[in-house]
This record gives sequence, structure tokens and C-alpha cells, in this order.
Amino acid sequence: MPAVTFFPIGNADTCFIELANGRRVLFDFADMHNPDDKDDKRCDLEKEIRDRLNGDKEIDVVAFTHLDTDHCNRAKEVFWLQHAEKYQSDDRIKIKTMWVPATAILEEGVKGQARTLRTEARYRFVEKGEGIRVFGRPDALDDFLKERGVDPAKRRNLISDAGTLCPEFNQAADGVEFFVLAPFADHCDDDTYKRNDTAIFMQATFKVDERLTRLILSADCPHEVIDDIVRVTRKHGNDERLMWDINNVPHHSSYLSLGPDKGDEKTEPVERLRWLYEEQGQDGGLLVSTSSPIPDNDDSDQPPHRQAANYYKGVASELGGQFLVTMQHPSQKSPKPLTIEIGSKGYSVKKLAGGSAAIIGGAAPRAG
Amino acid sequence: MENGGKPAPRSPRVVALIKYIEGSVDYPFARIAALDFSGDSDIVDLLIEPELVQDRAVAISDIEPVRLVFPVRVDGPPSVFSQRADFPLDLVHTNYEPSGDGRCLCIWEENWHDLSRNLTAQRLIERIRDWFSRTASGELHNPDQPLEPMILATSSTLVVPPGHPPTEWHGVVVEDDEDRLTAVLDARPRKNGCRPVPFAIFSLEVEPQVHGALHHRPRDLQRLHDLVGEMGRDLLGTLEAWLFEQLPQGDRVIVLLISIPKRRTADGEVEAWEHWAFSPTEKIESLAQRLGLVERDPDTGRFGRLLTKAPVENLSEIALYGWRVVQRLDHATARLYAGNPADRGVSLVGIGAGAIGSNVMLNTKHAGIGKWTVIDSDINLPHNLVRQIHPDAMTGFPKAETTALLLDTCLAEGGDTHIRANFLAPGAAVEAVREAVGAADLTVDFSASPSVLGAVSDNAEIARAASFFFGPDGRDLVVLAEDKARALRLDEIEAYYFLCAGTDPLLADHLASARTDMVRYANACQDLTRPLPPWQVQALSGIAAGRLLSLLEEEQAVALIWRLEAGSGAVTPMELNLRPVRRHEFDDFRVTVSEAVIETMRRLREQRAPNETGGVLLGSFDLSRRVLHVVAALPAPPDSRQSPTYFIRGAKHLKPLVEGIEARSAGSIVYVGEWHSHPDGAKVEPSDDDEVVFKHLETHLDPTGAPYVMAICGAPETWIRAGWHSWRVGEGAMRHG
Repeated sequence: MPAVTFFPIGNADTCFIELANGRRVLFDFADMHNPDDKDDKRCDLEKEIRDRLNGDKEIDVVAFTHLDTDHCNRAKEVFWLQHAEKYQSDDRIKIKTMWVPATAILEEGVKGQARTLRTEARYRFVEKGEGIRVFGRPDALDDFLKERGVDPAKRRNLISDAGTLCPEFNQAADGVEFFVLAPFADHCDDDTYKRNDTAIFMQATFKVDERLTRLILSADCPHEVIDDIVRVTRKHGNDERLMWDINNVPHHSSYLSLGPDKGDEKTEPVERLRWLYEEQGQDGGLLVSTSSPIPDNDDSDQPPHRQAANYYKGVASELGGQFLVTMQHPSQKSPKPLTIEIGSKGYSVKKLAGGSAAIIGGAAPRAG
Repeated sequence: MENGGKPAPRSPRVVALIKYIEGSVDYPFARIAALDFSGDSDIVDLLIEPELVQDRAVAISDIEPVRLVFPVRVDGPPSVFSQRADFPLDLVHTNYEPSGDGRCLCIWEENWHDLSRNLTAQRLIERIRDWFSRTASGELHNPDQPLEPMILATSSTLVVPPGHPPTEWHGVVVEDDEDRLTAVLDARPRKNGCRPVPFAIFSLEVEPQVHGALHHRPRDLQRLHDLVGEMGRDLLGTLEAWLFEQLPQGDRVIVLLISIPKRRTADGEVEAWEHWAFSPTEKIESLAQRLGLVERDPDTGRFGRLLTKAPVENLSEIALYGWRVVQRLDHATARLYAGNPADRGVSLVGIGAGAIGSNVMLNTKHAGIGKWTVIDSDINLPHNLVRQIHPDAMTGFPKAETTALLLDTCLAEGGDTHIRANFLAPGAAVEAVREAVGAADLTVDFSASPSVLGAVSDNAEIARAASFFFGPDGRDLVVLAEDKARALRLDEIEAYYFLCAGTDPLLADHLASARTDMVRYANACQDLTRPLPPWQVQALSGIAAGRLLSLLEEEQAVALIWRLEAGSGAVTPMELNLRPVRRHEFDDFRVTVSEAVIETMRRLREQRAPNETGGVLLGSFDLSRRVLHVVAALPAPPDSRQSPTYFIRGAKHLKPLVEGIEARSAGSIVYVGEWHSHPDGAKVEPSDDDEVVFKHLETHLDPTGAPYVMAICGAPETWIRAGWHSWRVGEGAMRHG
């Protein structure tokens, strides 16, 4: 049965989806742990992903929702990149199709991981004309192609607009479909290219037997963008595309993804977001905060914010579901990847006890 | 027990439970809410976090508060109570007696003896979590599923008795079918419902004869007299005296019954009896007259005894009509007719008189196996009748007693007895059970209970033990039997059988319908009723009975499985290739290592030399008996690192492999530790690195309550160290043969 896994990597996002037919999708890859720090509870993401690939060296789709470090850290160390030989050693993981927002192609003045991934995305999009899907179609993208001598019409098949299904997957063959909710072209035409505003925002709908289980992946979008997503999606009569059983809440439980005011104890969301969470959440709905543990004070301005978390907890409680935090699952003392199986009775959070299962799941210490 | 002024837990299971929850390396999905050791029981309040589906048949919560109440004086099952005020009671199976502790949840379906065998602290928690999970998903109790009633705890013929002829014969039954009679004789008159038999029976026992000495059948009185004379008896002289006694009822038909004791050699023991029966054409009075003993008074017409014997007519003219004499069956004759090659009857103990037990015991009884002592504590309930040998009239009576009665009456030779007792807890019957198994040539466990199998294995009074049971879906028959010398004990054979169930492709679905955390065979008395057709029960029981007979003639241990295809009726036999074991008796527990494990490690070691190699060890364990059987050593996963000075065991493909074996063996075969090789010339004792490996095992497994083993295979010998929660660590070396 299909399974969705979130990882304890602090305030960062990675979501690994394995389908019943064996195909795999990775949303973001942010390996944040510090191997030199014994007290770092963030997982060794590269190892976790490799374990799940079980020896395979290719992932069907790797999506970079946007190119912030907390969504792509160490990607250039782990993946096999087509644009330069130095990224092509045997042990690297190949990406069959790369998904990026249009801004990841257009953005200028980027450095580090983002620059390498931008180069890879441009290479696939402009030079190769395959192995990539670009989300959003601002006019600037056509200009970008024309400047490089490529007829935009010949890249049209590589671009997905909001309000469409990604052609890489379909429910009949894969048991899942991915519906693009954002980015919109007008967000991407902003001169400043705010990454969080133009990130990929999706709904995945799994189908097991006749049961549909819906997952929303909302990256780091602020409340204004989500408000817009709800407005436009509803305008097109696509309320169903905003229903959710599992919701990866945006931006590591930042209050700014709910509304403008943090609130004393609980953030009150803007109206359209209230509708999204309270009306579109299904019975037993699960909210996942991909973040550090929820603090019990307001010492830090950085997310997660306990007031936002309190709102999500309230939503979970009303739905008879739960609110889980990746760095607190199953315990804050020893967080582990959060695996959610999708079945004919909806989702279930895997809760496997350790013992021998833990020993044979990994290598033994060196014996002499 | 006081610990720093604070009451400490008294139940070792509570000690283990706390250690698991507080010390588990991985999160146990259970937290301790409160502890109370001040009362009559040890009380542990827990917050349980079950794995739940989104769509729930019953509104189970992500966190369920429960109270576990452990008995402190005996090792009994903890009661599990929901502590949630709004727990949806009507939707789940609970024990409905309200108590101060809340509502008691029916977590356990099997008896405590079976359950306690491998109920580590981790498995206890997992059982409770699993109960909530399956209750939530609606898998625990299908409303349509019938629940079995709960059970507290299956020419003319003369027929003569077998063996030594009685001092007095009584005709008890006669059937007259168109002049052909069938008459049944017995040592005692039958009380009710039998017509009197109008015969006068003259019996004469001759001197013992060597087997095969009898030849022609006499057809007249003279020849019979001569023949009996050759056998050391005076027929006529004896007959005359008898005739005088019988004169008052002079119109009765005479049956002359000659009993011949037979023996193999001239000075051998009498082994069997042959009976010849004849009826002269004359009745009592006229025979007496023809023998010159009496004369009819012409006036009165009555016979009077002659003072002087009259001349005897030619005895050859007194014709004899022969009866076909058949003996009712004793064990020896039953063996003969059943084609049972055994030359003697044996004493057996049968534990469990349910579907397989009652049928196999009765079947082998028919084959003259000998005498059974039936041990069972249950009573017959109506649903039992479909599978067992008992008629409706025995419903409500004890299985042991009724089974012994049916065995005892199925042949003319009885001797079958019963002990109404639970073999695991015989109570007042403890001495009777001890005597019975001590006197038996073979003790057969038909109980379908792994814990009985374990207890039989451990019982030193038993001469030899076997276990017969059906697979969980009732289509496979399993026979496990020790060798005559008990070099291989039943539990060691069972461990290997579980390994085969987990690994042999032919047995891939053998235990498929067993729960993964619980082995429960088809005829377990507390089982849910499974539709198990009587023909299948009897077909497999028949095979089982046949194998039991041949088992008695064999020396070696066996593990055999038959699979019945219900559609075609085809039966496929399988024999498991048993290997000897090495036993290590440590202070508090026992570890056995199959010779196959040592051979595998040695072979892989040779293949990889000069590099070190290794892998994981698989085995089964019984927590209550403190026994661990190491049954398999797996080769190094492909991502392992193997060098002349070290070995790092990888993990590629390992988890699905081990978990697959565990699932196919119904949770019996599990990971128990690590092995690796040492090169030629190196000691087999652990290096500093190896101590880290053992510590790794201890860290992960000790809190769970499961045992763990590290083995090091060198050139001359293999060294092992085993550890087990709350008990000490044991070490030992095994020289290579």
C-alpha cells in the first residue's frame, strides 16, 4: 500500500512517497543533520532515503518546491546531476523527472545548492528538453527561452499550470494523482521572486480500493498566497481539490502562514484559511508540522510558533484526528521518521516498536 | 520488598515491563502514568499509543489509558482495564463485570500457559496495542463470526471372549437367522435386555499346545475324544460327569467348547487361546442315554441313572456339528487383524482428547496398540461432536472419562484409564499423572498447545514423547516425535519445524491462518469454531494413527507434515531433515544450538576466508521455560564489509527476509542475535570490537525482554554468549566435529 514519510530534520521539509506499484516521489530533500554533533537528533536523511530505495539508484520524481536551503540542503552531494560530470559518480541517486517552480529557473543571483539545482533545471529545460516539469508559466519564462534560442511552444509540454494534474502519475496506474494548486503565473511575474510565494503547492489524491485519501503539501507559503490559492481554486469550482485527510501544514508552523497576527495563545487564521482547515479537513484528519519541537514560550521569532500549533491542535481535536511534529514523533527524546500508510480505511500512522526489528533494520557494529 | 522506603514491584513481569518502557532504545508507544505496588496486586497505569486507521469501526483514541493489574503470588495473566470514562464498551468484547479498576478488556484469547511462553514485556505492550489497533479497524471481532462457547478450560457362529476362558460360561446373546445362529458367550451373565440362550455349555481346557500343532477338525465324538486325549484330557470321563449335572434340563442343545492354550515353544508362555465348539446331534438326555449313563423308565417316560454303565454305542456314530468360533478382540488379535506388526501392546499417555486426540487414540486402540491413559480437563460440548468420537449422550461429561470409556469398550480387552486433569496444572492429580507418564512407553501430546509440548519436553519422567496436531486451517497434519533415547527433545524438534514453516517454500502458507503473534492450532479448545469437516479430521487422524504405530517400531526422531488438498483429496507428505543440537545449560536458562547452525557458519567461514564473515542468528524462545533454540545462521547481507581483521554486518534485504520468516512461522522464529567468524589461528573468544557488538545487542534487546546471542565461529570451535533479561549471561564453546 502507498506510504508517505516525513523526516525529523528540524525546520526543514522532505516528504518521501512510495506508491503501491513501487514508483517513488520525493518532495524536497534537506539533509540538515550535523554528523559531528552527538546531540543532534535530526536524522541522517541521505541514509534514510537510501534505506527506502533498498539499493535502487533512481527516483521517479524529485520535486524541489523552492530552492531555500531547508528544502534542498545537500542535494548536490547526493543526486546524480546531468549538467556536469562532477555530479555523476556511481553511488549518486538519479532523478528521472525533476519538478521545480518556474522561479527556480528564472531566479538570478543565487548561490550554493540553489545555484547548482538551478543550473541542473535550466540544463534539463533548455538544453535537453526532457526530464523536468516546470510549475507556473509566467511571461518571463517565454522570454527566458527565446533569449536562449528555444521556441517556447516546444517546451509547452514540460510546463504545468495551476489547476491541472501532473501527467507523470495517474490514479489508474499509480493509485495517485497530483493536482497543482500553485504557483500561479502572476506570483511568478513579480520582479523580486519571493521563493515562498512561488513555491509548489499540491494536493495528492491516493486511491486504495474506492477510498480516496488526500494529502496537501503546502511548502512555505505565507497566508496571503494560501488565501489566493483558496480563492482561485474555489472560483474554478475545485473545492474538492482543497479537501485533505493529511495536511503538511505550511512553513514549519509559522503563524504567518495562518494570518497576520500571532495571537497570545492561538493564532486566528484569515477567513479562507479557516475554511481550508476547518471545513475541508476530513474526519480523523492528520496535520503534520515538519519542524523543530513546538516551544512552550515565545523566546524565538522563528517558527514553529506555539500559537499556530495551538490552532492546528484545535483543528485536529475537532476532526478527531491528530497534530504531529516531525521532531517530536514518536518522542522528542528520540524522533524517528513519520511514516503514514494509505489504505482502504484512510491513513494510519505507523508506530513500530523497536527491539530486534530495529537491529536488523540497520548494520551491526564492527566485529573483530 | 521495600526500596528506599518506597514499595517496589513484586511481580517479575512488572519489573520487566517498567524496564522495557523506560529503557527501550526505540520508543515503545506506551508511557507509564502511575504505579501502585502497595496493595494485593501490582498496578501499572499506562498510556498506550496504538497504530490506528483513519476510518475507525470503534472510536479508539490515539492515546488510550489502561490499567494493568498483575497478580503477585503466582505468574498469572495481568488484567487489562480501560481507564477512559467514555470508552465505547458496547462495541468491543469486554468482560462485563464492572470493577473499581474500570472495564476489563478481553486482550487474551488463549490460555495463560500458552501465552506466557513468549510474552516478553515488549510483546505484552504490543498485544495491547494490537488489540486497540484491530478493534479500531474492525478486524478483531466480526459480528457474523460465531463464537465457540467458552469452555473451562472430546454356518452358526459362536462369539467368545478373548484370553483365558472363564470358569463358567454364560450365553448372553443369540440371533437366529434362518437356522444360522450367532451366539455370544461371556464370563458373566448380562443383566438387562438379553434373551436367555438355550444352550448347555460344556467346556474343557486342554494342556497347552505348541503353535500350529492342530490340524483336522473332528467330525464325530470319537475323533474329538481321541484328539482331546492327545492333549492330555479325558473328554468322555469329564463329559459324563457333566451330563449327570445337566439332566434336570435335559432338552437343551449341547455345546462342547474345547479351549486350547497355545504357545510358541514347548516350554514357552501361553500366548493365545484357541476355542473349538461342537454340538452333538443329541441333546442332553439322549446323549446321556447313548453314552449308557441313563435309561428311560418305560412307565413314567423319565430318565433314570443307571448304577452300572451300559455298553457305549459306537462313538463314531455320534456326529458333531462344528461351530465357527470367533473370539472377541484382545489387543493381540486386534493387531493381527489390523496388520499392526507390533509384537506387543504398549502403554501410552494421550494428553488432550479433542479432535485429533480422540480419533487417533480410538483408531490405534482398534489396531491393538495397547492401553491408553487419557489426560484432559475439559468436558464434551455439543460442537465437539462433529470432530470427536463421542456420541451425543456423552455431552456434558468429561472428555478424559468418556474417551477412556469408549477406548475401553471398543475391544474386549480394556485397561484404558483416564485422569481428569490439566497436564500443565494437574493439582491433586499430580501423582497420578507422574505415574502414568512414568509407566508409558510413549507420551503423546494431542493438546495443540505449544506450552504442553514444552512441558512434555521438559518432563524427565517421560520415556519418549511425541506431539500430533493439525495446522491452523485444519488441512495439514504435523507429527513431531523424539527418538527413543530422547537425544532430541520435542521442543527442539518444534523449533526446527517452525524454521521450516518460515523458510520452506512448500510450507509458505502452513501457518498462514495463525495470528502472527500467536500460534493457535485448529482444534484448540478455546478456538473460534472453524469449519473443519469430519472427513478431513478423520482422514488426517487416520494418517496420524498409522504414523503413531510405525513410530513405536522406530528408533529415530521425526518431523513429518501431511497436506490434504480438500478438493481432490490428495495428500502430500513432507519430511523435515532433523539435525542434532548442542545444549548449553546456564544458571537460569538453556540455549540449544542446532548442528545445522554450526555447519552453516563453518561453511560460510571457509568460503570467505581469509576474510571474516557473519550474519544474523534466528531462533525461537520460550520465556516461561527459559529456553532459547538457535536454529539458523543467515549469510552476510550484500552490503556487509568483510576483511581479514573485521566484519561489519550490513542490512540490505535483511529486514524483509527476517520479517518474512517471522510472519510465516507465526511469530515463532525471530531474530536472536549475531554471528561472525574469526580467521584461522585466532581465538574464538570475543575481541574488544566483539564486546561492542554484544553491548549493541544488550542495549536493543535486553529492555524488550527477549534473549540475545552472539556466536563466533573459529577453526576448531564455535563460541557463544547468550544474555536474557533479568538473568545472567552464559557462555560456552562448541568443538567442531
